[in-house]
Amino acid sequence: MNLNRREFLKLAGVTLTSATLPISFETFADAPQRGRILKYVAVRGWADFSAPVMGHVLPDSIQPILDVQEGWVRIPGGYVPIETLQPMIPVNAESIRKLPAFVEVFAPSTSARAWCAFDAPLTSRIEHGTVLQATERLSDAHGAEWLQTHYGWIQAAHLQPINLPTDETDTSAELSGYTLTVSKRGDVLAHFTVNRPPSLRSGSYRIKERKLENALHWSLYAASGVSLGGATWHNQFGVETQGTGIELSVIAARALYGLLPPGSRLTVL
Amino acid sequence: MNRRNFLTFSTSRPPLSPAQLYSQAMHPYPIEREAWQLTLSGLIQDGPHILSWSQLQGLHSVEARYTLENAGNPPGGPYINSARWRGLRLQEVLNAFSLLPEATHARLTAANGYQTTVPLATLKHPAALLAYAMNGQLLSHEEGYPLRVILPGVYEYKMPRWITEIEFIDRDTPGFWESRGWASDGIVKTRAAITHPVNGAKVGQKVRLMGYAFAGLRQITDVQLHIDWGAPIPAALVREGAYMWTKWFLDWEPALPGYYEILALAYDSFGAAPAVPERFGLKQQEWPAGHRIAVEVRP
Repeated sequence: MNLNRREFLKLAGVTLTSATLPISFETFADAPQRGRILKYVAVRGWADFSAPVMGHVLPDSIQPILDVQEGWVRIPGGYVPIETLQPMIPVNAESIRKLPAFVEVFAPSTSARAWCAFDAPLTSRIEHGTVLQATERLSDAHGAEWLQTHYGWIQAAHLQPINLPTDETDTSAELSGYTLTVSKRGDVLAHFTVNRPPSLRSGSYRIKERKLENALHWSLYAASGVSLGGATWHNQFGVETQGTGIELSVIAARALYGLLPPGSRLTVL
Repeated sequence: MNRRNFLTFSTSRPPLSPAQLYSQAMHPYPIEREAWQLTLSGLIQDGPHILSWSQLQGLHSVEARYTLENAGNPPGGPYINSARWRGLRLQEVLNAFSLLPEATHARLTAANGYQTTVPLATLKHPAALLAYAMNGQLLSHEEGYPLRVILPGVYEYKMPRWITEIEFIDRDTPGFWESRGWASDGIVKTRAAITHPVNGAKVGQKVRLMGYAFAGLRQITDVQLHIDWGAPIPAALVREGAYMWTKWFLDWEPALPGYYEILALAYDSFGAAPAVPERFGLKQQEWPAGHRIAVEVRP
């Protein structure tokens, strides 16, 4: 049996506190809870490094998430450390119709190539959850469709269109330690576990703008260079980041994008 | 592997070399065994010594499996293979004579004039052979009949066919390929290759990736696969012998259909091998330790 939705979101650094699901999380309503394996890792018989190795899972394999307990995730066959698995965004069955368009990588990862052919040189590796702007479409000699992006040509089979979350109103956020709490008219909606940069100063900031596609995806920008966004390349949150922005999981950043529209207030304690 | 295949794989020609170089270096030179002689000359006591085929017959012969690689073999190329070689231990042949203390190298000369020089230590390696049979059959003229040199850990251009003279000298001298820019030591570089699937193949969502890695006398300690530049995945290793390539395999289940690039990198007992962009037309020592292919995964 898979995790329930709330447990899955908690794995992505999101703790929901209200009884009803905020609008930003609606895409998770019926999505299967799956994770992307980040590195070659041993699957243990129980949630402990002393447990026998039952097998190994390969990076970029997709695993159903069955349970979470004290730093370990149960997948079919056993347990893997929580930092080796990244919760995956829901799959959107729609196809990409009009271009240019913002798209996201729903595959565990994909790659950009110099031109649209299977053996064209790789120009970049694109992680799961990355948001890109697709500008042109071409088919290769085998009939497969490719989309042109800033990074190069990417096979369309690994991308899906973005459905923007509906904006909440009257929300604000407060960052204390590594926990970002979002409230609506005084009611706490959700807690987010984040990585914060050492340069982040206490104060009150107003969200000025947001961008889908950037180094941190689903980014929110406030004054004084304060930014928040999703990190696609790891799954370790609740620590100090080496970067300059506040990092969340992509799932968390995706939701926060609608929870804190421009004009919302962010307080850093 | 049959003998015909080995012929294909064992030419000592870099693929991009001019045809006349190939012809000059590798022209098969028909020799009658009864008329053949091996001369041991140079810095050797009471030399030169001339050995006939019948004299060598009295020595104990051994058989072992070796992987031979051509120095011009591109990443994943066909100019490498393994075979059972039977012959006389060079060490035993040399022990029957007294070399002068100044002797540090041996210049090997073939009946067609091909020359290369190797350190004495390489020639005295317990696995160094004067081989007369491969895979249970006498060598053909093309393979070096009646005798060719087999040395572990070096490229094939350091192992002349149709050997007729071993001259002991006190320095390294450039031979045929060495004077054309190839490394004088000829030591095999560490390299992995993917043999299955082939570049451009269409595969299902469960595929066994297979290949080999070879580092000469150094042991292959790890072969790692990178899918689309992703995190390294260690392959299972199957060792076949001290002088042989190491086979590897990995059962890969790509999560989604689409195109993927697979890079195999070999690591030896001396640590990581460099992974630099692959370019053809470079000499072996400038090539990367990896082999790269692209495949299409179909549902």
